[in-house]
Amino acid sequence: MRSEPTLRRLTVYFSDRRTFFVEVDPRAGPSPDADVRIVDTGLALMPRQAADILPLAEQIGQALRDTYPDGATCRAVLPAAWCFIHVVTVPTAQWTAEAAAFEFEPLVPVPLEQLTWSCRRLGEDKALVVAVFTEAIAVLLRHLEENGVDAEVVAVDALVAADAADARSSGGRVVVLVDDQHVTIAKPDFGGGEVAPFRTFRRPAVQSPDADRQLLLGAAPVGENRTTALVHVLGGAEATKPTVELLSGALDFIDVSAPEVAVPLLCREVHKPNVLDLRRQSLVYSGRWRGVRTCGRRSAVAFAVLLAACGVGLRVENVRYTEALEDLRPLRDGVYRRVFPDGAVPAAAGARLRSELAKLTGVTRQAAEAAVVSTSSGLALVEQLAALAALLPEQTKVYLAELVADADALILSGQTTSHQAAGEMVQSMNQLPGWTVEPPRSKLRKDQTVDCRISVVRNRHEQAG
Amino acid sequence: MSRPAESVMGRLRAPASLWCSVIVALVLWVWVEARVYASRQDSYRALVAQVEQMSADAGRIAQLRSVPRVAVEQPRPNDELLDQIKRSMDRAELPAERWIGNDPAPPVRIPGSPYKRLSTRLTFDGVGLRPLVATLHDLVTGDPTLTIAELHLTAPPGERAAGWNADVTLSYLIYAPYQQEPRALPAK
Repeated sequence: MRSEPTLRRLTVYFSDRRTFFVEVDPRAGPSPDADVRIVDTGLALMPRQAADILPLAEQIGQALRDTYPDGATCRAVLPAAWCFIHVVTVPTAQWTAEAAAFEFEPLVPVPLEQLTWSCRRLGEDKALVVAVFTEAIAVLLRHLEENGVDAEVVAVDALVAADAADARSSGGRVVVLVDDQHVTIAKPDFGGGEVAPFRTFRRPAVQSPDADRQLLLGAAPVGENRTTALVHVLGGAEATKPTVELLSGALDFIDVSAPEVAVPLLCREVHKPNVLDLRRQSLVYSGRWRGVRTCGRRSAVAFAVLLAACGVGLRVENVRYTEALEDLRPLRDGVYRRVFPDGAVPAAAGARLRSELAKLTGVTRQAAEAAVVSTSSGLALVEQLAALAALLPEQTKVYLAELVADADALILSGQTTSHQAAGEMVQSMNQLPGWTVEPPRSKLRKDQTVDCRISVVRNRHEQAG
Repeated sequence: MSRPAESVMGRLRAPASLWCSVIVALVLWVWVEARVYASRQDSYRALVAQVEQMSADAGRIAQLRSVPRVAVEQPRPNDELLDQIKRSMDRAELPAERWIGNDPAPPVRIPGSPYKRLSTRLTFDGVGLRPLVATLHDLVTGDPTLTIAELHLTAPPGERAAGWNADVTLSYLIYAPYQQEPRALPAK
């Protein structure tokens, strides 16, 4: 129970007389003093068809919601009157559940497709097959789930009672379940030596001790150890007594006539693990994954919230960046206008400035010198000439016929008074740093003057520097 | 679980497909926002870097604009250069008739540099050395990009002749970085 975190287990017991909500402590014994809480809804589920069961299912659902507003997990017990129960023979070599169902199908008046069935193997070649109308039970279970109560197991009261009796039998003793009110149990059939199905119906009272003996014999193979007898004794406590007295030497006796005994007995038994469960095929219980689904749903919600938070955070950051970009653009335009005050700011303002800077760098000395381009003063040549002229000896007379000057060489051609005068000129010009004066070429003329040609060459390392 | 909490969870009991759709939509939204965020962040960083770079460039440009130039950006029109020479001759009192010719040469790329050199040969007849040098001085100091590249002085025939025959080669640099060749379109 979710509201009371104990080991108490809930059973919704659809008796064919009442519907009970029963809470039991499975650790407690079968005594009536055990910790049991029984809610009698006063509602009975007699119809078997889905259309007929609907109004009653709604009432039961409402009662469940009122009783367990926080929801619960339960096991449901159906009356045997709702079920088709047969023991069938299946060849040992072919034994499968499907083979048992195949043998079972001719024994029921409806197609197997309309039923949900389950079976239990009894010995080598026998099988107990139980089936219910799928649609009706589905309606019932859906109403339980819609009202927050999940039935994880659907069992049949007669079989649960048989299991309870079987568990109590030992040493070959037979257990008799005596019930005339709440647990409607089987009708044994003695014909042909086969055990009759638990097809339950009301039958006349059995009064004679012989009849009791016959019932006892015919019902023997129900339990797994074949020592359980399922006996429907009608007539109340007074009528039961003779039977009990008759059989007391060989039988254990469980009086399930009174609801405070029968109902807890069944509801405690139905919470044991080996119960024959009808939540199969179309009625399979998916609530085992409810925790996973709930966890998944919560994870999905958390993930969605996280995603939404991330999205909102990113959105806020995007807006912030957009505003920051808008703030930066005027700053960029201002920088551009410091260089180009007129005209519009182009999209590639940075590239425009880079281009301007590259151009300016290119047209100034630093870049030109980096490119090993001579950028000496425009008057350097004239200045070099002046420096050379200043070095010429004052007494020497020169008639300059030609002067060729460029950045690397200087050639003087003319006439002087003697070879010695030409040599003195060369000697003087050699003082010019960075330049080398080559030996003069001179030739005596008829008028005793000398033609001379002097070449001055810039030193290579100076040139490179 | 309390009743209100149960009812809240009850409202959240939407089909799994709806939750999947919501989560897929949210994931897409977050993905788009993340892409936009990355883009905006890159843009912001790029713009900050650009503004910083532009500020540095602007400062350097202002500095370089005050530095004398050694090259020009575009070839100087020949008429403009001739007018400039003529004005310098006037200031140096060199008679205009002494200037008998000019011979502009096509620009020549200086190997391995982003510069071209453009030279113009000026021819003078019977000029005095002083006015010639004064003219050249005026010319070069008025335009620091100009350089006297070559000077050829020849005494005119006859011992009594006055002045010199002069060939002066003026040159200047043009800043002309290599242009990337346009990629040829593929043949169709």
